[in-house]
Amino acid sequence: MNTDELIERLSAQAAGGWTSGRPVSWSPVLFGLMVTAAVFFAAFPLAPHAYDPLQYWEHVLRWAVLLLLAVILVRQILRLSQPALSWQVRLGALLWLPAFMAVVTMARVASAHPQDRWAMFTGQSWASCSASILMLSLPLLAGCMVVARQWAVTRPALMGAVLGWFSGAVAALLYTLHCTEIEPAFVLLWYGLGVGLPGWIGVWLGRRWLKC
Amino acid sequence: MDSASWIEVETRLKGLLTDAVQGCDGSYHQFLLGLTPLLRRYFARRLHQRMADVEDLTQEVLLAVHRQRHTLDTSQPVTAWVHAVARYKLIDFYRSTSRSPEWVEWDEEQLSTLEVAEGPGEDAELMRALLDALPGGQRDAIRLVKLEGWSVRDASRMTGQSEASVKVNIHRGIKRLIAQFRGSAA
Repeated sequence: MNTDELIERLSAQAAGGWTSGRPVSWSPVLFGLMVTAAVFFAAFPLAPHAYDPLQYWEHVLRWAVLLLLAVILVRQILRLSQPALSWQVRLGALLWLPAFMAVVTMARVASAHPQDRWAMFTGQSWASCSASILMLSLPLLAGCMVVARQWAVTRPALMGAVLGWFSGAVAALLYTLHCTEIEPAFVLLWYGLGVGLPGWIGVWLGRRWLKC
Repeated sequence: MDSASWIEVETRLKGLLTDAVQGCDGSYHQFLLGLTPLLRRYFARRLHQRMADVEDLTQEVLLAVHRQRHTLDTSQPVTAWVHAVARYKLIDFYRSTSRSPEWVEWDEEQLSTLEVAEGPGEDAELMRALLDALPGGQRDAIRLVKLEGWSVRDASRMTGQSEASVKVNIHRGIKRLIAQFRGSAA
């Protein structure tokens, strides 16, 4: 088919006009979130601090960082959904959060007794923390991917990564209701890994699924 | 294109698209017709006038714009939106063709050197003899990927081997070639 024929055909299809900026259907994200939450409440008992959230400042720090991360990522996702917008704008903010946590961690580790330093990083549950967050993030990530397929994505790998990190951040927020590890060193390392791994899966999925 | 004429193009296309959204007769047709020369020029400049590919990519972008027209926020610049889509298609095109042989266009001079190099030199004879001595799977994999420049995926399609076995065959074949070469050189 030559280009003129194609244009004729496409214009015939759009003859009656259309709804511009049609809102995408968000229900797959909601569904994914519900599955993630259902798995969490079925598999993980709530920790006592879930009922008394302001007991320690480390709790608040953990929530604040993860919540801020999720908000920044949502804004980045919405920017990436519009190919005409520059996507670099908010990536800088993503680097500030881990950097801030790293500074807090260094300050804590430096002031601790040398014998306790190793335990600050490993806590009691290092072996299961990242894997639990990763597992919890997967249903939400799947929902996000289905929604992102409705957009014209011109940066599929980046979009996949950001969707993965977002799913990881939300999963980590839920997981904090179970996890009693509040040491910044632990949070930086194992929560960081738990949030980062879904991003890697997101890149893989994005390259195959997302397109424009 | 300078910025004044760019603004003019943007205004004209945005106007046509806004009309098209409301179903105005012919404006979507005009919009696509207005995009086409811009896309052709964009791709022609980057693909060094390989017109068949330029036309294919132009059509692909028109199709993508058409498919995704619902998601276009008309408060955003239309040209920036289409440019992002065109850029994506171009990168996709580079990725899929960068390893296939028709990508390379030879000029006269290169062709003549190639003929000299392909003459029945002693090395070429020896190479052919060594290759012929390999098992079929290994010979085909090496010939397609290493000598003719096809991608592993293409070679897998052509030979019916899986991609993993193409890679393994190349690896084993080359190992065997080295061993044979040492034997025949000794």
